[in-house]
Formats: sequence, C-alpha cells, structure tokens
Amino acid sequence: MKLPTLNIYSLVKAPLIHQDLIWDLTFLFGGLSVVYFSCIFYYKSKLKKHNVDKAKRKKELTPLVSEFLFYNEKEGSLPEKNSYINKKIEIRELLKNHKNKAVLTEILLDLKIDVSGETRLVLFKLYRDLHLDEYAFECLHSFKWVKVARGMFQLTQMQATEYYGFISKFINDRRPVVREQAEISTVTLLHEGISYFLDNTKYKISEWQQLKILEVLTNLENFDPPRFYKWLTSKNKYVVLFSLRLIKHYDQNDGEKSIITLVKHKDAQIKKEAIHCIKKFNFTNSRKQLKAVFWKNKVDVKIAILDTLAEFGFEEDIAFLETVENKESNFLVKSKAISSINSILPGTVVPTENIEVLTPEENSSIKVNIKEETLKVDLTEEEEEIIEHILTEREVGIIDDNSIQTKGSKSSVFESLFNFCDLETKLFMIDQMVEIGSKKEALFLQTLIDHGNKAVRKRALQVKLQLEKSVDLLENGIDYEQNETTAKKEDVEVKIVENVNVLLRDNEIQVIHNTQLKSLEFCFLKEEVVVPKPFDILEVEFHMDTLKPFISKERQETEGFNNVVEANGGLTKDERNFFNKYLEFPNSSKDKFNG
Amino acid sequence: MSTIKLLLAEDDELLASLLNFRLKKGGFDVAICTDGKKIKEYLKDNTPDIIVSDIMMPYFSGLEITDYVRNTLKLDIPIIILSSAGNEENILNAFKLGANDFLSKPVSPAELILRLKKELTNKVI
Repeated sequence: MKLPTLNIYSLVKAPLIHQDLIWDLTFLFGGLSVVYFSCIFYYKSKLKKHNVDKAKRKKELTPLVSEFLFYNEKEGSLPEKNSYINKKIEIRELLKNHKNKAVLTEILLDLKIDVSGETRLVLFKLYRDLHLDEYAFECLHSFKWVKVARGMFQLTQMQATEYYGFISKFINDRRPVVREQAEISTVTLLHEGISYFLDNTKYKISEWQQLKILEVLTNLENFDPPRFYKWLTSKNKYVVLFSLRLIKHYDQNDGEKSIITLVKHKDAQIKKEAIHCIKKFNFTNSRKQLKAVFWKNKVDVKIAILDTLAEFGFEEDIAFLETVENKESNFLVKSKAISSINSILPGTVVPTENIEVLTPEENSSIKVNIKEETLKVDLTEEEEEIIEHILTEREVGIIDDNSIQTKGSKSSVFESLFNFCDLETKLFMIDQMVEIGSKKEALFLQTLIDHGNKAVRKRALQVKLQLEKSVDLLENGIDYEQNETTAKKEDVEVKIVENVNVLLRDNEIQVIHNTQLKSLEFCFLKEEVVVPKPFDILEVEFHMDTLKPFISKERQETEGFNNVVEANGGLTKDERNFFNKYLEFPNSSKDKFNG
Repeated sequence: MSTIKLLLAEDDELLASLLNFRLKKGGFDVAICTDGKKIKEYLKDNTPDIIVSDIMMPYFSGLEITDYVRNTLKLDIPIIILSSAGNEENILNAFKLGANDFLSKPVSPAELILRLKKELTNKVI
C-alpha cells in the first residue's frame, strides 16, 4: 500500500533577507561585542590598579600605625619623641588625601579584630586623634545608602559613642540596609539603645535582625536588660514579638498578666510566643484563658496550648482535653490531647502499672506472635491455602514494635494529610482509598462530596461508591458455598486479598508490602521500608527473533532454511555454535557486565 | 645579651607587621613567614629560639608545623600557637602535638611578650 507523502519543502520556505542588512547586523553585533569586551578589560584593569594602589598605601601606612600604637610617651627617649612628632606630621599630610583616609580606616578596623587589651583602647584613641571619626560622620550625610551604612558601621566598631544621637535617627530610615545598620549601631553604642530602639521603631524587625540584636545584647559588658514587658503594649507587632522573645531569653517573669492577655492577640505568631512564655514561666493562672481561646486557633497554636496544659494542667482540665479528643477533627491535635491527658494523669491512656520491662529478645518474640495471631481467623482450608499463598508471594513483613499503632483515631489518616496537599496529590490520595480504604475513608469521602473543587467532588463520589461496595462485602463475609456456582476462583482470590488487608488492619497491625507500596500513608512512616529490587538491565534476557520471516522463500530453499531446527532464541544450531565460538555471548550477569 | 631569634608564622600581613614592630621593640630578632612552605624552608637553614605560629595558614597549618618541629626536626624549641578558632579541639591538638602555649585571637601584644618571656625562662631552667 502506498502511503500518502507530504512535501515538507512546500511548507518551509526561507524568508528573503537583503544581504546588506545581514552585513549591517554583523557589524552592529561585532561592534557591540568589541565595546563589551573593552569595558570588561577597562574595569578589570581599573580594579587591579585600585588594588595595587591600595596595597601600596597599606604598606606605607601600616608601620606608621604600629609606631603610633606602641609609642609610650613616658618611656620614650628624646630621639624617639622627635621621630613620633615627625611621623604625626607625616600622617596628617597623608590624610589630606581621601584615599589614604579610607585605607587607614580599613587598617584600623582590621587590627581591631586582631588585637585586644590596651592596644585596642589605644587603637580607638588613635582613630579619634586622626579625625577619622569626622570622616565617617561626613558619610552619614551622603545620599548613597552604602556610604551611610559604612559610616555608621565604622563609628560603631570604633565605639564612637558621641555619635549615638546622629545614628539613632536612622532607625526609621526607609532604606532597609541603613535602617538595619542603625538598629545594630544604636543597640551596640549605648546600653539604653535597646530601649530607644523598641520605643521608636516603626518597621518590621526580621527574624535575622532579631538574632543579630540578641547577639549584640549578649556581648555587651555589664548590660542590665530593661523590663521588656513594657513593650508588650507596643503598636508595632514585631516589637511585641521581639519583646516576648527577649522576656524568654532573659527569664523575666514579671509581665504575667500582659503575657496571658497576649494569648488573645490577633497574630498567631505572637500567640504562640506568649504560650511558650506561659509554659516556660509556669503561669498556671492562664489555664482558663488558654481553654477559652483554644477553638478559635489554628493547628499549631492548638498544639502549643495542649502542650502547655500538659506541662502544668490539673485534673479539672481533663474534661476539656477529652472534649478536644472527641470533637477535634485534626489527627495531630487529637493525639496531642490524648498525650496531654496522659501527662496530667499518667496511666490514663498508656498503662504504667505492673508493666514488665522486656528484653530485646522478648520483644522480637512478640513480633512473631503478633504475626501468628493476626492470621488466626476461622477460614476454610481452601481460604487458608490461598491466604498462605498470597502471604508468601507478597512477603508480608511486620515492622518493629513502634509500627504497631492503636486505633484511637476515628477519622481517616488521609484527613489530616488532605488539608496540606495540592490538587493532584488530593486526587491521587482519593484513588488510593479504593485499594486500602475502610469505613473511615468512606466517611471521609462523604465529606469530600461537598468539596469546593469539582474534580475532587466527582472523584470522591466515584471512589466512595466503589469503597462502600468492597466494605460491605468484607463486613458480610464471603460465602463460598453460595457463590461457588457463580463466582470464579480468581474473583474469590481477589476478594480474599482484600479481606486479608482489612483483617490485618482491623487487628491493629500495620503491614508493609515490600513489593507493593501503594499508599501515600507509607510515605509518612518513620520506619525504613525495604525498597523493591530496582530494574537491572544486566538481568534482562535478550532474545534474537527467528531469522526465518526476514529471509526470502527462494533463499530459504537454496540455503536450506526449511531444514532449520528452531532452537532457543530462534537461532539454528550452527548459528548458535558459531556465535558461542567466536562472539562469546555472556551467560551470567557478571559476564554481561564485563561486556 | 644576645637577641632572641623568634620565628613569627602568620599569614595576615597586617597583624604580622604589628607584632613584628612590638616584638622588635621587646628585644626579639623577628623573622616573618607567611605560609607553611616558607616556614619549613626557614627551619631547614635556621634554628630559632622560639616560634609563634598561627593555626590557619596556607600549605601547612600551625599544628602541622608543630608536628614537623617536634617529630621530624626533633627540636625542643618553645612553640606558642595563635588562633582565632580557639575551640577545645584545636587547643587540645596543639598541646598533644607538643605546643607549649596557646593564645586566642584577638591577641594582646603585651600578653604575648609576657608569655614568650615565661616560655624562654622555663627553657633555661
């Protein structure tokens, strides 16, 4: 049969471009590249020149700095004094040049890091003596944010406290770099700086900035921190948050009422921080407040509240915790409530009395017993045979004791996961419920029928119907005698496979099918899962198709292909011998690997 | 009194220059080496009375130099280690390899001179 052909050349046609235009473009781009590389070369050489010049100036100025730092007026002899005075004149001359000022400042800043003790104090004095502080102060008036920030940094490093007033004005600067440097400088230069900063700042204080300020405060010598509860009334929520953190850091428990009130704050982060403070300082009076605000909060705040109640709750709080356990739909919150009950009244949930401590050997024997007991059900011989066959095939492995979970939760495991995933994953999870779902999943799917997304609604309905069918089947049992005439053996096998799965689940055992990981739930297991054997190219058996169909009838007759005895892989005996002799086909995996 | 020969192994030229000035003023004859290779070369031809070495240096660290002096050259010269990373591990390693003293950066030049004098006195005793 002749296939229709498509003349591709009729579709593709090169546009006509004037040759002059191509030349023009070539010259244009050539010229641009020349300019580009010239600029790179120019700036690179300029930078190199600048570095060389800087190194030269450093070499010139460093001995002078050393001389000034270690000059002792009392010990110095007359020639030394004269030399010192001459060098002072010399350096003042040099400092008339702005470049020298910058280099000298850099030298002093570098040395400040490396030296300590009296030498450092002399260094600060020298900085002022050479009027480098005035040079830095001039930078504060620059319109370039880099210069302003650099000026503030230099003055802070050299502990020029007399400039505190000028620097602190920048804490509400609209340029973030300048503002952040001003905040650090204000806090560093004077001990009162932190109070001024918290009083006046109007901008957001980033987490990173909070950490830096905290570090500065920690390194301040003889720092007496102010009572930070005073700033809990600030209009800037970041000040409130930072104050709470500082309260926690400095263990200031004098703001009990304010902290408890902040549990009702609109911002979840402040609420959480306040709850952490309550927990740390054991403000037991807050229990009523915590319980009152509980239901309005998000999951993380709810967990923080339950955690706090677990820390200092009383028996009166058990009723509230039980309500949470029954009413709360989120699995994590529910679990936390149960855990809190157990913390307040040990032995309520997890038994603690008359419990023997088991040795590791005994623990491992329990594992085996559980496996045996799980499979003890009233089944016919035929069913037992099939189950055994399936279990052997699937290599069902029971993971260690940690995986044995109590089925305290009445809601589906998918429910808590469902809220945190995207649409695609949600649909995937719904699909998974057909295979591993039970009654709980059916109930959960019922709630999804009213979901905002159409795709989710549709899929949930389909899966729910399928799931209900299979759950009914499992609950009513499988009557072989009734179905014997109608159901095929294969169908029975499938049903029993499902039955086994549900059986294992209902016996509160979590099973991992080594070779058939299907559910997303398994992704959230802590235990190590045996990964199915990956595809190994070396294990693939290659077969050559028989040559016969590709050889013409005439050739088959002349060359005796009619007498060909088809052997393994479609080769004749002679061909196979030939290949084995000369080509050495690899037989084992090792041979294949070695080529 | 003859001058004391001191080897200052420090890759930071600025600090080396500053310490050099102070040590010379304190009566030491200072030789500066800015990397591990130069130190080894210097030690092949010269034997200083005392070594002050930074830990972090190009080619060979201060700890390696200490090991080289103690185990290869078999010299009993007092060695003072300087380091900005004054963590416990570094300090212990320095002493294990045979360093006599350890100073954390930022360093006080006055303190360094006192420690040098102390080490030299101990050596004489």
